[in-house]
Amino acid sequence: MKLYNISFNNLKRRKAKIIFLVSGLLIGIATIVTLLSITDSMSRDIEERLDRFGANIVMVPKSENLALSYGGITVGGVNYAVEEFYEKDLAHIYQIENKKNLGAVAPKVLGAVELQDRDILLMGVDFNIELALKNWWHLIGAPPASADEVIVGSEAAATLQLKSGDKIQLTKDRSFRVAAVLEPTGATEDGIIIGDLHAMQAVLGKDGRISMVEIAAFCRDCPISEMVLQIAEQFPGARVTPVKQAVMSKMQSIELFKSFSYGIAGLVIFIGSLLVFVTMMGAVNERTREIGIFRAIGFRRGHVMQIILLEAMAVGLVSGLLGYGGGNLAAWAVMPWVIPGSSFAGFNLSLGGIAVLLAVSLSLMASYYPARKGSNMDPSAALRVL
Amino acid sequence: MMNYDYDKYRDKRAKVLGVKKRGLGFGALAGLVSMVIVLGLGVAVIPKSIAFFQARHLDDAIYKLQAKTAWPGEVLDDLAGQAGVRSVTAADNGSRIVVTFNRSKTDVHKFSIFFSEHGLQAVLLNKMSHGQRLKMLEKEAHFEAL
Amino acid sequence: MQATDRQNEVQHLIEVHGVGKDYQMGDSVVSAIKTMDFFIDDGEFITIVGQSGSGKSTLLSILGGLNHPSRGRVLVDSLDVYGLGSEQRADFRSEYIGIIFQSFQLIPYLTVLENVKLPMAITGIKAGEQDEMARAVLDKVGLADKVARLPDQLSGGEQERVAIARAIVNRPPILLADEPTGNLDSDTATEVMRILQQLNAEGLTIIMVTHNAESCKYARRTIQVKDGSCLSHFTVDHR
Repeated sequence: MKLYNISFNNLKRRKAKIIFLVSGLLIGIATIVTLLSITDSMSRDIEERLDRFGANIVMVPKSENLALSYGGITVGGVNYAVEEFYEKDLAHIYQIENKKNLGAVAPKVLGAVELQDRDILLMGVDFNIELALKNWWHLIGAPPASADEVIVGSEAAATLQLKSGDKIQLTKDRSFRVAAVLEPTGATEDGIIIGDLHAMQAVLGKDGRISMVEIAAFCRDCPISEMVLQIAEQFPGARVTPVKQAVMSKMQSIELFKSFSYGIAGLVIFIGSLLVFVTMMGAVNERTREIGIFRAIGFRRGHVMQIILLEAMAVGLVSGLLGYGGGNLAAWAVMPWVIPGSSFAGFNLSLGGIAVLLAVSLSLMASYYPARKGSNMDPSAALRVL
Repeated sequence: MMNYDYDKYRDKRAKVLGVKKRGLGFGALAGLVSMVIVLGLGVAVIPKSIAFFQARHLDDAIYKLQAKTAWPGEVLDDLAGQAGVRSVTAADNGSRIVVTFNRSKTDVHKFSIFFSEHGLQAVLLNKMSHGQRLKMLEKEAHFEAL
Repeated sequence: MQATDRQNEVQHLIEVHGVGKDYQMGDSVVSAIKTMDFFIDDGEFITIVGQSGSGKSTLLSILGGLNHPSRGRVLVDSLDVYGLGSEQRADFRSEYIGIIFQSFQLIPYLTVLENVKLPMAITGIKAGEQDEMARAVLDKVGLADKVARLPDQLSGGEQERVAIARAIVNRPPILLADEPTGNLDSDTATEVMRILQQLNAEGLTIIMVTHNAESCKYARRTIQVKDGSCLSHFTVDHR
């Protein structure tokens, strides 16, 4: 017989009360686990997308924007004064201080043409650089071998009923062979036709012009922000943005959601802890006679405290484990509703460890005063004199 | 009647008299450790959340003079005093400035007007969230330290 | 007050000097015990008799280190019981005292065996040895076949025997019994008293509170209590 035997035997007989106790804390722990699991999944989703981008920096022409606002609410804007870059100026990119961090510089020209009575977006690229950069592209066919060959995005191919080997007439006097169809990427490439840079410049009447540049650095956490500023200094007419920056604005929403989650979870956990406190106080009062017996047969105050706190630890442990499991289950169920197209990222073991630790700690803290009160009971008063 | 034998229960007597408080009891230790854990988690979470909320409306706009000269000090002081501007800091040996501002109170268009009024050709190099910029710089500094 | 070792002064296992107990009842003070002086030797079987409210149960709780007297001293094995610290007094109860409470006071969610092992939960005795000791005392009181039962599955007499087993499992030198036969029929009561007598024959000092004069015949000596004072001590002849 050890003190923990007394604790566990007591828990076994008071099943209803224990279920009530566990539920209080469990709901709080499950709430925080659900919310943090959701934010964790959302963050991982974004990180994965970030990892997929070969380009870390995007350079587009600066444009003026006239913001449209009605009654103080901005409803969008009108872009004007867009000036494309000159291809010959791109050499300035290699003059920045951090040029050693530059990987690929992938220029593109963009424009629309009419094909089969439809307006189709054309993108001209340097295939040697582009195919190395976009290593997640999977081609049904072979990469273009000449300037007269193009790649068609999956949606464009379906719309125009094109397949590898087909010929398309982009201008009156110039036709191109479809070298490959791009497997679906989920990005804008799916709906466009991609051809050789200079060939497309000619088709679009934009000789020597560049619509945008994707620039890849050698590593993800290089001084991208500094490189962005250096490139921006070389190209005052450009808007240079690290891709991470655009993605990070989405992260900010997640951060906001996370902060609110902490607040809500904190409140729920506080209520759960209060429930533990009140229930334990009641339990100690109910066990006055029992505590009196313990003290009378020689248990010290510390022994009585230990019995009660061991019960609290067990309650906390069960709450933490069930709360972690329940929270993950709720996150898995709720994720597709909250963020369509997303999926649950899986169990985060460190979150599980924190959940259990938090539950046990809160249970102990909430039970400390009742345990102390119980242990300080005068044995003879507790037994109402022998 | 038996005479009292002082030595008969000597061991028991020694046990009773030998009881000394040995440091923290289980209860005090458990209470202390739990409090440390809960406070620790609170300290890890709460200041971050407070800092996030405080910086939520702040953006950073990074400017450089087209003439690639240094920024006039009095212009920077003037800019720092504009409504909505939290701070103006020099960067990259004074050739660039970082204007931290509350986006709900002012924007880069007002800064363009300000610079024009002071006869300065300033180029906006980048604009981003203040909090995110600090995070990115922290990550990149860690990488460079490696 | 520090516990003191009074080797030269003490002549008995238990000595009660000028002990009194007062209770506050509203504005007035009521003396449950006015003043008592007596001694008990090692191996004695003492009964304390008196009417209801005479202070005998209060006296027993004072002897057990459970109730601080308002005045006087209680010496047990030279230890000034109420000069000890609170934790020392808890250890005193664990080492020296076995208690049989009124109404048994068994823990309802522990089996017979677990109830008997309860005093050993804080002693550091290994599980195997605990089991051995508990089964031995249960065998002594005739309950070896009921170790897995819960208290509410036992008769009054059986519960009393479990209470006795629990009180003696740690081999304390002193057994305090408060009305051990109060809730029992005469046959069962006789059986319980026989067990106590046997334990006393083996050297256990027993102090039993009773309002039943019949029980006194099992004791060596009786202390008669009335209105919070010792009325008389008298020695009972064994039959």
